[in-house]
Order: sequence, then C-alpha cells, then structure tokens
Amino acid sequence: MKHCDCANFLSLDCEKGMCALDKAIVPLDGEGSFACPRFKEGYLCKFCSNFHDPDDHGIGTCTGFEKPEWAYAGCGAFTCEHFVRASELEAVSE
Amino acid sequence: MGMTPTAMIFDIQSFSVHDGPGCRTNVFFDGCPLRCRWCANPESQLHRRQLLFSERTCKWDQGCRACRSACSRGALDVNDEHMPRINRRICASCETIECVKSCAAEALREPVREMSVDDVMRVLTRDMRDWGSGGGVTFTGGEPLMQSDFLIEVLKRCHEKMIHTAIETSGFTSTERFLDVFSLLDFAFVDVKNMDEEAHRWGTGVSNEQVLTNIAALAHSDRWHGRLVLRQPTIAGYNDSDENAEKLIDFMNENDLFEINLLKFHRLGQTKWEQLGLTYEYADKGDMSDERMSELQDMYLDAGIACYIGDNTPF
Amino acid sequence: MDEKQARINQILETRGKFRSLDVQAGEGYEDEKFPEPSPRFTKLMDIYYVMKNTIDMEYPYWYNRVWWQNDGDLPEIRRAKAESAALTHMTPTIWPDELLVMNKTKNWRGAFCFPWVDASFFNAQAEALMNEADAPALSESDKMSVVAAGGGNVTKSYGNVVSIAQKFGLRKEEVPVLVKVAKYWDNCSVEVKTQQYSELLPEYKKYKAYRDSVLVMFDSWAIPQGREVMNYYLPLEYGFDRLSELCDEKIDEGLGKVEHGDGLLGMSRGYYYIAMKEIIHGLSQWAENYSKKAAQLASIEKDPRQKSDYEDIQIVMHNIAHKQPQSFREALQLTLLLHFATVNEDPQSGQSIGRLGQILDPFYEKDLREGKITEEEAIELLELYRIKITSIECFASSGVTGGVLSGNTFNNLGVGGLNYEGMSAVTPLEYLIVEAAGRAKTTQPTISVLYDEKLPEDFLLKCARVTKMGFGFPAYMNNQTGMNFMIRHYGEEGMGIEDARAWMLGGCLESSPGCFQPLHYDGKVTWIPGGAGPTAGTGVHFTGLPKLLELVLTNGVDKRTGIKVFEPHGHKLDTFEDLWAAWTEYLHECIEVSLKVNNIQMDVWGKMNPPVVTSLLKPDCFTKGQIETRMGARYMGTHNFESCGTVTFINAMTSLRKNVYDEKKYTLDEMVDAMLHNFGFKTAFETGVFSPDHREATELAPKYEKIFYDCVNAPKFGNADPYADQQMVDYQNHMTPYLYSLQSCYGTDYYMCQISVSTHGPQGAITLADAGGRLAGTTYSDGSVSAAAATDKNGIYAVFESATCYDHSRNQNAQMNVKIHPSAVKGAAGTRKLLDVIRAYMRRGGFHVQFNITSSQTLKAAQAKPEEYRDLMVRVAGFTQYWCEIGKPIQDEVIYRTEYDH
Repeated sequence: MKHCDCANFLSLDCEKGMCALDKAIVPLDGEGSFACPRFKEGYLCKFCSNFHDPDDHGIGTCTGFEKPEWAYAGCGAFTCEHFVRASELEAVSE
Repeated sequence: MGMTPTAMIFDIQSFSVHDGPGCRTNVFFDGCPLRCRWCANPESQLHRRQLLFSERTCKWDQGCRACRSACSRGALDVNDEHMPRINRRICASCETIECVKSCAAEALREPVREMSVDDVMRVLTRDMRDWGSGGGVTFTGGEPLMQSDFLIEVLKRCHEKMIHTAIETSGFTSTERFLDVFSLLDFAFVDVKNMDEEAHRWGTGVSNEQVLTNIAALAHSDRWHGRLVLRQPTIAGYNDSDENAEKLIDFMNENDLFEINLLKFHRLGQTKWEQLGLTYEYADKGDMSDERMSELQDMYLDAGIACYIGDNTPF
Repeated sequence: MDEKQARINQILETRGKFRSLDVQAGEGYEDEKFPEPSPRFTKLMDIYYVMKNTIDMEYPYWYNRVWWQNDGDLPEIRRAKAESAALTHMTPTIWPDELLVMNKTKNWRGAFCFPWVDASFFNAQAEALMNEADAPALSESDKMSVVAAGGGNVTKSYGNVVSIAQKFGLRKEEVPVLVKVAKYWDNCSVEVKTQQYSELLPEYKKYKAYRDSVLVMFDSWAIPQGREVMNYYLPLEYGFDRLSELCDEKIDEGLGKVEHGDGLLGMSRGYYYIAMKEIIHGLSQWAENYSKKAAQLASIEKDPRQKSDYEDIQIVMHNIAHKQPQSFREALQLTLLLHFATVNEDPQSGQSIGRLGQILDPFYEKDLREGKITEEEAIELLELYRIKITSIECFASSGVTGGVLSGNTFNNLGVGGLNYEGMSAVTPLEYLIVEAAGRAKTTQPTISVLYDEKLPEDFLLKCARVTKMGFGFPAYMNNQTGMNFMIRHYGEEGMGIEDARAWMLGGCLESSPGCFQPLHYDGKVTWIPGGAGPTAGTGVHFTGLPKLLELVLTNGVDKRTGIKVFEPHGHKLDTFEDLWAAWTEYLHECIEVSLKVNNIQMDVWGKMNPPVVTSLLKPDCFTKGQIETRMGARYMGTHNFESCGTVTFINAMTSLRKNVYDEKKYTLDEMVDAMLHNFGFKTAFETGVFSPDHREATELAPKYEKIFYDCVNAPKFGNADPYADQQMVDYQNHMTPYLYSLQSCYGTDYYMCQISVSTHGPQGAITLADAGGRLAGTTYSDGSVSAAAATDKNGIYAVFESATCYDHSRNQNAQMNVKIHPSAVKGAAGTRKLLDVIRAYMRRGGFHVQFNITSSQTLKAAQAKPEEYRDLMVRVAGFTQYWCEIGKPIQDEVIYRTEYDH
C-alpha cells in the first residue's frame, strides 16, 4: 500500500501529498511513497464494495447508485453517499 | 514681449525627485566655467556642440555600418572590427553633425538644443499640473548662471505662473548677478567643493573666493527669501578631511546657514567622459565609505547644522 | 525614526522655519517597514512554493456522469445537477495551519479540464496520451522535475506525471479517465457546436483566414466567463437554507405562470428556480463536506492547537452551509466558497472579487466592537486569503492559457471608490486588506485602487507604500472616469449615478457594471457593491492593428503564410486619407465578420451550458427568475472590441504620414520594400533573439539605412508631440461611433476595450517590420496608451500628455504602464512623490496606471538564480506574476523595458 491510499493522506499535487499525522510531505512515486505501519485504508472507489471489475487502466463499474455507471479506481470517495468499504463488508461476512 | 534670449539646453528631465522639494522638472543648461575633475556631466562643460559616442549602444557588432560615410570631413572612421572611431580634433569645429543623423541606434548623439524662453515655458506649463503641490522646476547643468539673462527671463515668467523655482549651482558668477538671480528663486543648492583656495583651484580650475563671497552676501541680503542648502560632492582624498569640514562649519555658522547636503562621490558620469573621447581621472579613486560619510554627518550635527546624506533628505 | 533624523529635525525646529513645510509631523525619512507576515502564512507559503499545477479527474468525472444521467432534461436544470454533483463529490482537502479552507479541487494548485467546452484538444491527442500513460515510468534521474525552472508549471512529462499544455501535471493513471470522458463530447462540445454553426456563415472563410494569419486570436467559447465582477450578496444576506426556501416559494408562486405577456422568458422562470434549488443544495453540501473533513482530521489530531483549529473549521463550514454568516471569518469563508464555485463553472480567468473590504466591513466591525477579533487576527485571515486566491489556476485550451493567462488568473480586488451615498467608500477593513498585501508577498489578489479625490490621503499613501514594494500592485483606476464610462455606456440600460458608483474592474482592466444591494446585518442596513453584468472580456478580441496595416500594404495577402486574408482593397494609397480609408475598410470587415462568429459562440455557450452559479449570484437574475445569458443580469451590454498593439499601429501610421505623404521622402513602394526586407536586418526568428533592441544586419542593410533612420526618428506617440498624438485622436474619433453601431448577441451596443493583455508578444511575432521602425517578429507595444518601448524621449509627463490626448471615459479602459527605478521613490518623501505621480495622471483623466518598481539588476540576478528569487514578482500586462513562472522571452522583454528607463 502507498501513502496515497491511506485515510491520513492529504492531496497536494500530481507528485506528492501530506501525512495528516506527522505533517510530512510524502511522494506519490518511488522511494518513500510506501505506507507506514500506521496505514489506514482511505476513501477511494477501489476500496468500495460497489466498485467492480476494474480493467488494466483501473476503470470498472460503480453499482452504488440507481443506474450502474463506469467509474475509476483512484477516484476519491470521501464524500460519496454510497461508499461502502469492501474490507469492512468482508470482515462482517467472515 | 520683445526680444527674448535663447539658451543652450542639453536635457529636460521630468519626474526628477532628488533636486529640490517634491516632484520636479529639471532643466539642464549647457556650459560651465568650472572644470571639475570628477564632473558627472562633462558634455556640458564646453558651451558648444559636442558629439557623444556610446560604444555600448552602437550596433557595429551586429553588422551596422550606417555611419561609415556620413562624415564629409573625415572625422569618422572605423577600426579593423568596423567599430566607429572619431577624430575629435576634426570633429570639434563641426556644426552640422551629419553623423548623428545617420545613426538610428542613437549611439552617436548631440544632445544640446537651442531653446527660447517660450520653448522652456511650454514644457514647464505642461508639466506644472503633474508636479503636485510640493514640486516645481530646478535649473541645473552645466552652470545655469552662465546663461543668466535667459535664466532671469524664465524665472520672471515662472514667478508670474506661481511655479516653485530651484537652482543647483556652483555659485560662480559676480555677486551682483548672483543676487539678481537669487532674488527670483525659492530654493537653492550651492556647491562648496573645497574650503581651501588652492585645493579648490586644483579640483575645479577656479578659486573659491567668489563662491564664498556670494554665499555670504546672499545670507545677509534682504533680497533673498528662499531656502538655501549647501551641497558638497564628497570625494575621498579631496574634500573629505575633518579640517575641511571644520572650516565649512565655521563658515556656515558665521553666516547663519544651517543646512548642508553631502553627496557621496559616484561614477555615473564616467561613460560620458568616454563617449566624449576623454579620459576620466576619477575612474578608480575618490570612493567614500558609508562610515566616513556618517562621521562627517556627525561633525555637522554636533555643530547644530542639519546635514543630509545623499537622497536621504526631508524634501 | 533613527537618532540622526531626530537630531536633524531638532536643528530644523530650532533654527529654521521650514520644517512644517516639508516634513510631516513625526514622520521619519524612511518608510515604516511592513511587519513580517504571520507564521501560518509563512508555513503555508513554503508549501505553496513547491506545489505543481495539477489537473485531476474528480470534477469532470462526476459532471460527465450526472450530465448524461439527466439526458433530455432542460439545459439549466441539467447543468445545475451536473455541477452540483461534481462539487459535492470532490475530495475535500484541508491542510494543517489553515484557517480558511477550500480549493478548486482536492489539490493545492488544482484545476481540471472542461471537455464539454473543448474536447478536441484531448481527442486529437488521445492516442498519444494513452501511449504516455502505458509507457513505463521514465528513468529514475528523470523523475525529479526542476522546481526553479518553471515555478509550479509542469512543462514536460516525467515519472508518472504527464504534462498537459506545458502547464499542468496529470497522474498517468488518470489519463484513461480523461480520454474516456473527453470521448463523450467529441461531437457535442461548445467548441464543436459553435464551429458547426459558424461554418454556415457565408463569410466563414474570411474568418478562418483572420485566425490562420493570427490577425485575430480569440475564441469566446474557450473562456466564456470571467473578466467580470463577483456578487456575493444573496448568500451573505440570506444563507443557503433561506435561499432554498425562497426558491420553493418562487416555484409555488410562478411555475407555469406567464406575466405581462412575456411568454418567451416568462415560462422559463419556474425552471430557473428549480435549477437554483439544485445548485444551492450543491453549494451547501460542498461546504458541509469540508466540515466533515475537518471533523475527521480533528478526530486523529494529537496537537491541541491544531485540533482546535480543525474544530473551528468544522463549525464555520457547517454554519455557512446553512445560515447567513455570523462573523467576519464566516463571511470571508463564504465569499471564498462562492468564488471557487464560480471559477469551477467554466474555464475562466479574471473573475474579480470586487470591493471585498466594503462588502465584508459590517461583519468585521461587529466582531471588532464585540471583541471577537483583533486587527492582527483579521490581517492574518486576509494574509491566508491571499494564498487561497493565488492558488487559483485555470485550465483552458492551450492557446488561451499561453496567450491570455500567462499563469495568473488575475482575480482582482478593488478598494476605494465611492459608496452608495457618493462619499468615500474606504472602510477600516480596506486598510487591513492593503496591510495584508504589504506583509504577505503573493501575486493575488491583485489590488486596484478606485482613485477618487474624496479618498483619505493616509489610505492612498498606504496603497502607494505597497506599490513601492515592486509587486506591480496596487494599480490605480480613475473612479470618475470609470463612472463616466459607466453612465455613457450603460445609461441606455437604465444605469443611474448610484449604480455607476458601484463599478469595478472585471479581470485586469475590464471596467464592469455593478450595483449596490442592501445587506441586513448587525441591526442595520449597509449598501454593498457587487458586479451586475456578464463577462466584459469577450467580443471581437485580440485584433492586431499593426498586422491589419501590414495587410493593407500587402493588398490583403499575408506574406508570412501566403494566405489571402482580404480581397485586394483597390485603393491607390496615394494620399494619407486613402490609406486610412483602406485600413478602416479592412478593419470594419474584420470586426463585422468576427462579430458574427463571436455572437454565435457566446449564444451557443449560453444555450448549451447556461451558467448556473453566476445566474444565482448576479443581480437581477434571482429577482427576475432568469438565467444570466437569458438577459438575467441587470446590465447586459458588456461585449466589446479589443485591439492589440494600438500604439505600434499609431507610430507606424505616423511615420507613413510623415515620410511618405507629408514630406514625401520615400514612396510607399520604397517603404513597403523596406518593411518586407525587415530594413535589411535578420528577423527575430532567424536570430532567436526577440528583444526589440537586437538588430543583426544582413548584406542588404546599407540599402535601408536611411529609411530605417527616418522611420525610427519619425514622431512617436508618448512624447507630447501633437503630430503623433493626433493619429490617436483620429483613431479614437473613428472607433467610438463606429462600435456603437454594432450589436452583441444580447442586442447591446459594442464599445472599445483598450488593453492588450499578453498577446502583444505572439501577435508581434507574426507581424512584419512596420514603418515605425519596429522589426519583424518583435513584440507590439504592451499598454494601450503607454509609449512603445524605448520611444519616449521626453519623460513621463510627456507620456502622460500624449496618453490623455482623448477622453478616456469613451472606452472601457486605457492601460498605462510606468517603470520607476526604486531609488526615485525611496523613503517617506518618495512615497509622497509616487502619490504625486499617480495623482498627476488621474488629474489628467488617465484611466489606469500601474507601476513596475524593480531595478533591472534585480531582474537579471533573478534570471540567473531563480531559486533565490522565488518570491520576486513583476507586473506583466495587466497582472502580477512570479518572475520565475514567466517565460524567458517575456523576461527578456521586461528587462529590456526596465533597463531602457534608466
């Protein structure tokens, strides 16, 4: 997992972001871009149970709304009314 | 209006801010009786046309050859690299300056213009509304007193139009003339270059006696109602000694004068010496340190004289 | 005041009589320094400086999704739903140390593309983009971009970042999303539709020739909003919840009902309020999202101070999501939300904030009186506000980005002017706005002083002190000239003296109509000013007047491209009057053809993409129940003609008049021959040096030496020489009545916009040498009434004399750029002298003056070591930009101009 997948990650620009916990600027790529032990899964379509079958480019299907529609894995979902964390569902079903 | 004299003027600068109170227009008179070795406007020393050539502006290095055949007297030549060379001995007597009219780059210039009182007044009345309440005109040069008939005419006209007038002068003229002109002025800078007569003569080519006499006469004259600030271009090794300052302080106190402006020596005029084909004696000497300027300022302040350094003035 | 000055003052006091004349009581000779900005500002700016311009796909994805979900709905309702969904689904980001929050997108200097406006740009390069996305990351050494070289601009791709339009970085993984979204709009973007209908014009071929020859370089649809003034009134007065209720009431009352026999617009009122309800909900939810984000951050925050900051943000954002703001901070935050919502609605630049210090003063004064805020706290908020505005980036198609924006979106903030009662409008808050600008060194918002003789002197001096710092602002606008223009132009639409007083600049210089509205707050009514018309920065724009003259001399053929731009004019050009007639004929044709295209562009945009945020905010849309583009705004006559290179053109005409027609030194053929041969010099394209001062001779040079000298030395505008100035007067006298005969798509009269933003470079580049002595490819004059570089020989007052040779209130603006060396305005006396210069120009009726007070040495040093001058700012065209973010050719030009002025 990378910093940018973390719930504590704050976007800055196309190459870096910030960790809300220690306020450090972290890169999106390469060395230093991998998450630390405090990682907590963030709010992205790819972590949502309504997001299905992404292709090689991360484009899949969103079934969270009335009509199914294509969606992309990296899209932010913090404010999405139908975001349901897939890992939590799995945890419940297990 | 009768016959009005004309004057040789080599520049009129608007929005001038360091030569008197407020925003001003400076009128630069051509010609000067002094020959200061450090002069910043050497083109104005001789009261006649003089050719300036700026090597930096010249486009010879970009292939321009426009002036090569402009001079019919053979005063203009080019060197092996096609850079123009001027034979100043031939050039000195030229009145027609065809070479200037060939140079689109303005590397060859002849700045002096003959202007009538009306010409000057046209510029001043145009600029008048732009000065703001505190500003006006400053006559400088060169030496404006050298063309004092003209100056007096202009001053009278300024007076009619309620224009605030200032002068920057060496003070080198007869006392009578000096007082005639000053009675029409509101503000004056008069240079005191050196208190030592010999040193003054060495540096400027003339004695300081006339200058000091004029200042003293002015200080005691009931025809003078303006504000007088003495000025000194302060030059290391020439007039920066304690002794010179002490003498000047004494002189000022004797005449109840209490404002002086010390101008730290600068070399802004150096390129003009080169453009005139002359050697600048002060190319590598005369520099003043800020510390020394400050020490000199303290001497005046201790003597109860308001001493300003450079453009750090209250006006 | 230092010890020596105190002693000097003592001496003058005891010995002299002058002190009271020259020195203000208690004033030192040195200016008081502005204090350092707040630590919060400094910390946030340290991050800003390393931020890259970034586009991401959250907004376009959601807009696109919801737009197509509502296929078949009415355009205004569909737009409101799509915009609402896009705003409310973007990830809210809040960074530590912020007090004011929100951004255009989740990123700091974020932006996004608008494929529904312009998809061809992406579709044309879809394959190339996909290849870039699929390619492995570049080698490790290429991954780091060079910060100093372009500031925040991503000028080329690296690592997993793809450069878009040499300005923005886009994550590689989002490229497929961009390509996929853009495809939807391949056949139905505003660009495509305007093109489709423009092509039906019988004169379309002519228009294409204007564009291909770069005689005209503007597409209205590319930035259909901006260059106008915001109006924050309705939400400040009512809050979103009440506004939503008002919509319900209006729907109940008016849906399906036609009044006063107005069937065309009458019926649309009901749909308008339905659309407004959608967008109001979106705006409210957008605020609520930031509240939720603040709550989340507070929940994980260990540092008590930071935690409490987050908790405050949570409360503020929740409050403004629903109610009328109840503090200065809430009010400021709400205006910021509205500003971001507006700039997210369309590609745009020049969205003016308006006279913020007058709008928010009631909130500030109440807080201050009740001890809820101190001056210093207010200044800190205003410093942080500057960062927010400076971070606004705009993505428009690349031609527009390069030409018009030069990186600054010029969100203009006005101070001064007159209030509703006709008294000085300066408020206590405006002093703090100026103070914050002096402390916090950012490019935006740029500040415009609406100069009026009624303004307090200490306020003007404070503004002058900031101008002296060399940022290029505040700039000074003549309030009376502006009001005169307003009444002259908008009188037909019913503008009276009160509304005229509410004017302000939209964008850098587009004088825009406004009005006052009654704000009920703190137990009283305050009449607050705000914008009241659509964009004043569109119409027939960027028309290169020198290029047009060139085409007259080449009988319609563009020598550079071989394009036949005009039919041969058939004039002999044997008199100056005949030359003028030929030029005006070409000009009229060019304007009238371009006008039709522009009208189609603006009309199609308004019908396809009706602006909804703007239509909520602009008076009187909400009162009338009309979308802005359906004549909703109080004043609609904002479209205009914008020239470029006016003074270059004036100088060229003057030289022709003198050398060819009056003195007959050369025949016109000789003159044209010299121009075609660039007076025997290499062109800028051959040498690669675009500085107007560089002249490399060819073997032809000797042939043209004399004519070149005479062209260079022909009278030039800017020297108080009536021979040249008369040409400007004639031009103005021709244009004013002519433009009033043309009608915009709203059926309103055209008028003149006299600025040349930053197209003077690109349009100069495609223009041959001209009779004024300007060489091929070099830039046009930069301001509309400034002298062309290096041609003013008689000083600044002579420049002023020329510039004001006609009444500036005929036109929307007149741009005067003045360069002053910092030493000329040093110290307290220098501040007064700067104000003297400003006042001098204003007293002459000059419309607008701005200053570059930076020495060329500083600029050169910054060019050599950009990393050490990250915060150096200069004025370029009508706005201020960080030095290191402007391209080298413009840097060279600015250095040249600065150097020339000693």
